[in-house]
Amino acid sequence: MRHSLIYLWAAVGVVWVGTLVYVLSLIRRQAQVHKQLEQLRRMLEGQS
Amino acid sequence: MRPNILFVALVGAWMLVFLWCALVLSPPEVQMGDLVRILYVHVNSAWTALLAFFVTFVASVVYLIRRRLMWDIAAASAAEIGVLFTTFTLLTGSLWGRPVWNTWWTWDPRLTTTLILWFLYVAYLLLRQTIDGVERRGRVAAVYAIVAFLDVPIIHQSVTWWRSIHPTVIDDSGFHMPASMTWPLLLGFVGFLLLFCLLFWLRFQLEITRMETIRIREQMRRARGHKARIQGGGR
Repeated sequence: MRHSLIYLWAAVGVVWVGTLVYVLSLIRRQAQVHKQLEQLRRMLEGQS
Repeated sequence: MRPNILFVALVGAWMLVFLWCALVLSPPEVQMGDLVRILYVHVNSAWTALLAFFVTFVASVVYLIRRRLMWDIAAASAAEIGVLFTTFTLLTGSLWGRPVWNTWWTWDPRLTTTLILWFLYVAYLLLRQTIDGVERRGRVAAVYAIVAFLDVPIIHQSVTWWRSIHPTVIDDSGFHMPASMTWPLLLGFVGFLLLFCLLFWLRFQLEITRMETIRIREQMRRARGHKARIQGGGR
């Protein structure tokens, strides 16, 4: 029974750790794109 | 910002209640024991993946009719979440199969068609990276997504069309499990649905911001071209 619990915790862990990693990757990507956007806006203001 | 935090808190609280019901309150099964609890995350991951691919399918059809970029962004966002949840489905299924079937993987019709689904949508995401031009990429990706979605009804029918060892606890006639297991599963379904909405919203916002950077780059490129033409004409 204890042996089967390893598979159960692994399955639950895969879903929750996977979701957490995905959310963190989305936040990181959003921050990168937002930084790029701010740089571009400043450059555009400088041009005009 | 406040409603967003409230929504994140709602999803988090709902998921904690679901986990408590699935891992503590729900009874163990007679033969499988506690391993049956994997079903709550496995089945809900599969449903969420299929829902995500359905959203991709609908958004792709609407994009081809309306040609509005928003629908293409929605299709791509849902497809990425679908791939994530199909990965969870395959991994949790494998973790259930090892102690119950004594193997990590078998070429069962449902498992095989689900693996094909995973490859189809990974290819969809890769295809989007390789095509230049927003309009052309949207058109090609939408046609591909509509064709790829054909695998979803095949997955559903795979257990009846071919000989399968995959358990069918839920089919067109309803739930074939006791009520003590049905309600945690449904609680999880609502929780995964909320989680899908949250992830979709985050992914959609990311793509909107990325499109804004592309638009500004395009604007700057046009402005530079215009300036160069004026300078060239003045000489």
